[in-house]
Amino acid sequence: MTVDMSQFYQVFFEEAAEHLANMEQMLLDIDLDSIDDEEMNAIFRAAHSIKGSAGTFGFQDLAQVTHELETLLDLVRKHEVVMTTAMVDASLEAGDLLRDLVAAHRGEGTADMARVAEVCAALQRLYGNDAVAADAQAQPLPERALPESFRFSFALPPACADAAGVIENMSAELETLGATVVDVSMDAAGRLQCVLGGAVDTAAVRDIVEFIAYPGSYAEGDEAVPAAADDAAWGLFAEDAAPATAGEPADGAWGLFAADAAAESVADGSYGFFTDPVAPVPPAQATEDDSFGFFDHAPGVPDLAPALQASATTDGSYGFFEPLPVSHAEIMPVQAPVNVVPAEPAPAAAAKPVEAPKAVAARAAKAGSGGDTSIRVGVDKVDQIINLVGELVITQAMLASAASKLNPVEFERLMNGVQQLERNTRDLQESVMSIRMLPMSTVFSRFPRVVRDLSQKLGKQVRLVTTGESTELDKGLIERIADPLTHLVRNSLDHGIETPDVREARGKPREGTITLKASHQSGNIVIEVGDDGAGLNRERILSKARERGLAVSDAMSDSDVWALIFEAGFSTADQITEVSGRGVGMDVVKKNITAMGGRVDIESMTGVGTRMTVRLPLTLAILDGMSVAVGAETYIVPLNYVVESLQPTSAMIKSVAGQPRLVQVRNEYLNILTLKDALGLRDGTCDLERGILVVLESDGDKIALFVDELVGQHQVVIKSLEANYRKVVGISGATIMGDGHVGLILDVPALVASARGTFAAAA
Amino acid sequence: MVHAAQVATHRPDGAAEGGYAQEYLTFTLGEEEYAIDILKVQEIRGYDAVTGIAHAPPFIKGVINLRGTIVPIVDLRIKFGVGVVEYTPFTVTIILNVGGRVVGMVVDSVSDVLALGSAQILPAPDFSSALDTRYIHGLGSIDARMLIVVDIEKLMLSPDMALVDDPVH
Repeated sequence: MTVDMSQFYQVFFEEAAEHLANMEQMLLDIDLDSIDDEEMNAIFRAAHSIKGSAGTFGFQDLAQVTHELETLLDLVRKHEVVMTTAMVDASLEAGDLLRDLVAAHRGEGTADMARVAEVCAALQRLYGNDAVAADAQAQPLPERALPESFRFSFALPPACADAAGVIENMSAELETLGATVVDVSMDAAGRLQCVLGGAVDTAAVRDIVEFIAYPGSYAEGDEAVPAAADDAAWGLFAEDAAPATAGEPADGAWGLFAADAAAESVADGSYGFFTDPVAPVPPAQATEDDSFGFFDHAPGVPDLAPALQASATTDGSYGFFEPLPVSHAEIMPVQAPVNVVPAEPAPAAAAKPVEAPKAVAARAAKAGSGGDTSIRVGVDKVDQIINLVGELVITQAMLASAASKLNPVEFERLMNGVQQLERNTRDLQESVMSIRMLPMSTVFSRFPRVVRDLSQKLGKQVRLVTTGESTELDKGLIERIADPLTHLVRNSLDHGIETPDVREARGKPREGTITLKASHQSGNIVIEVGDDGAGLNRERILSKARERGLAVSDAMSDSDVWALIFEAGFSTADQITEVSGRGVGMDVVKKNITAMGGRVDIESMTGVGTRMTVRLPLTLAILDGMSVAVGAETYIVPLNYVVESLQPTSAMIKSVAGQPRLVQVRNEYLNILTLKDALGLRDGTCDLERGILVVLESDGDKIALFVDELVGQHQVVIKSLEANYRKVVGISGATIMGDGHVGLILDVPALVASARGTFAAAA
Repeated sequence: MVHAAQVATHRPDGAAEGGYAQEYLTFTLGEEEYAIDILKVQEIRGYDAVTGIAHAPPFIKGVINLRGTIVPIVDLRIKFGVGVVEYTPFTVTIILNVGGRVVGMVVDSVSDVLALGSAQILPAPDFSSALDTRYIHGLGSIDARMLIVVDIEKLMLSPDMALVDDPVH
C-alpha cells in the first residue's frame, strides 16, 4: 500500500515556515562575540528538522540547501569554526532561499535552481574554507623567544592607490603594539622592507601586516619572496612566538591547542585579528574582515578611505582561495600538509571553561521561559468556534427574553439559570474572540532583518528599537498591517535617517534610531514608526506639490503639508533608489490603512525626526456601530464615521430648486441624503421633521443622513455579504443582530460619495 | 428544519434498468415538479424572515442568518412566475451549496428523493420560458410525472440570478 504523502505536505510547509522564522530570529539575535551554545544548537536543530522532513517528503532542493547549511552550523556548534558575520549573512540568505523554495513547492512562485546552486556553493566555501584554515593551523607550532628587533617585508596589493597612507596606517597600528618603526623603504622589487625596534610579538605584527599586504607576500627577516611564500602566507604561525597572554579570550573553537596552554592566545577564532587585546583593529577593518570578503566585494568599497580599501582587498584574498591572483603554486604546499597532519578532534569541552559570562547569563534568563505551550489550530476552526459562540449568544438572548415573560417567583430557579447562562456565554465569547488576537511581535519580528539588510545596502548605521510587542491585535489585521508598516520603516530608513557622516556633521550620533512602538489607546491600537532623522522638508514638499499641480499655499499648516506625501505619485526623494523614491507606496500605505478602518498621522520636525502614527481598530471582526431604523429595517452605521446626530427643525432645512436638500448645522450647509431613497426602500418616513439626521464624515466630506430613528449603539460582529452574495452599493457588510436577524452595515464612504453626485457612477 | 438525508427515499426499480443512476431531490413550484442533484443540497429548512437588500431584483428576498453565515434567499416562484407567492409555515427553503457558495431558494414544497438513470432523463425541446433551456439538464419521467431536471449550479451562478458579481458561464 502506498501512502499519499501529499496530505502531510501542508503540515510540513507550516512546520518549515515556523522553523525558518525561528532560525532567522535566532540568527539575528546572535552576538558574535559571545555565542551561546544553546542558541547555536537551536539554530542547528531548526535546520536539521527542515532537512529531515524535506528528505522524507522528497523535496531534494530543500534537503540539499539545508544539508549545506546544517554542515556549516554543525561545525560552528562543535566549535570547529567560529561564527562570522559572513556566515550569519550566508545562513540568512539560505533561509530566504528555503522560504522561496517552500513557497514554490506550495505552488506559489517558482524555484530558482541557479540560486540553490549559488547558495550551496557559498555555504560550502564558508565551511570548506574555514575547515582548511583550521587544519592549516593545526600544525604544532614551535615556540620562540621575542627578537629585539624585527625585520619583515611585504608587497602592497596592486589595487592600493595610496601606499603612503597605508604605511602610515600600518605604522600607527604597529606602534600600538609597543613597537617602533625604525625604517620603511621600498626595494627594487616593489617590496616594502620594514625594520621594527623593541620587543614585539611577531604574530601580532604579522596579523597587522597581513591586513594590508598583498596576499602571501609577507615575509619575515630578509627572506626572499619565493622562499617565504608558502610559509608566510599559509603556515601563519610558523614563526610564532606565541606568548600566553593572560585573560585573552581563547575560545578553543579550534581545539587546536588543547594540549598546549601557551598557544591559546593565537588560537582564537578571529585569527587573532580582533579580539586580541594587544592588537586592536579599527571597527571598519573588522567589519571588512569579518565578512572574509567572500570575494564579492574584494575590489574595494569606493567611499571608504583608501587605506581601508587596501585592507579590504587584502583581506578578501585572505580567504585563501579563489579569485584574487594567488597562484595555485602557493596554495598547494599548504593543502598538502593538511592531509598528512590531521587536525586534532576538537574537544568541545575546551570551550566551556572560558565561555563569556554574558552568554551564561543570557542562557540563564532564557531557561526560565519554559517549553512550547501552544498548539497549532487552523484559522477556519477558530472562526467556526467564533460563529458557534455567536449562535450561542443569540440563543441565550432568545431564552432570556422568553424567560422574562415568566413569573419570577414561580420560576426562580429557571431565572437564576438563565442569568448564569448569560454571564457564562459572555465570558466564553470574550475568550473565544481573544484566540484570534496575536501579539504585535509577530509583525515586529520581521523588522530587525529588514533594517539590517537595508541599512547595509544604504551604508547607514541604524538601530531598531521596538516596544509594546505584546500588544495584541486581530490576526486579520496583523496580516494586513505588515506591508504598510514595512513600507513606513523602509521609508524612514531611506529618507529619514541620514548617512553617518551627515549625522555626525549635524551633531547627532552616527547611528540612527528607528522606533517601533505599539500600544492600546481607548479601544484602538496605535503603532508608531519614529526615526531621529532629517525630518520632512516642508519647502520641498510644497514645491513638489506645485509641480504636480496640487492646490497648495504657503499658509498651509504643517500637518496639511505632511498629508501631501500620501498623494499618489508623490516623492520628494532627489534620487530614485531601489528602496523608495518612486512615489508609489505612501498612497498605498494610506489606502490600506484606511481600508482597515484606521488612519495614519505624521508628525515631523526638521532635523529632529519624523513620527508616523497608525491607528487601527482592535479587530476587523468587531465594529462599534450605531443602529438606525428606516421603516421595518435596521441598519448599522460604523461609529467612527458619526460626527453627531440631531433632530432638525424646519428652520434648519433649506431648499434648493424647490427640494429640501440642505441642512444648516451651525456654520455649515450639509447635503441631506435620505437613506430610504439611497437604498430604494419602500417604507420609512420622508418628513424631515419627524426623523433624525446623522452627520457623517468621510475623507473630510460631511453629509447628513436622514433616518427614521436611532435604535441604539452596539458592538457588532462583521460578516461578509460577498461570501455568498455580491457587492451591494451602499452596504459594506452584514452582521447578526441580537434577535438573530441580519442587519446590514452601511458603507459610509460610498454614501458620502453618492451625496456628492457620484453615486450613479459608482453604481 | 429537516435534514436532506432524512427525506424519505424511494428507489423505483426503474433505476436499475436506466443504467447509471443519480439521486435527485424533487420539489414543486405551483403545479410543476422540478428535480435537482441532491449532492448540491446542504439542508432543507422552513422560511424565516429575511433582511431585504437594497437594489436587489424582486426574486431576491434578502439574506438570512444561517448559523452565523449570511445566506441570500431567492424565491424561485417569483423568478419563474409560477405558483402563488405566499409565505406560510409550510413554505420550504432549500439551502444549496453551489460553487463554494451557500444560497437558499424558496419553493412550495419538497417531494422526495429519486434515483434517476441517465436513460430516464430525456433531452428537453427548445422552448422559451422564464427558465432558459440552457439550465435544464433534461426532462425526467417517472410514470406519468414529468420532472424538470435543473442544472441548479449553473442556474444559481448565472447572470440571470444576479447572485454573483462575476457570473460563471
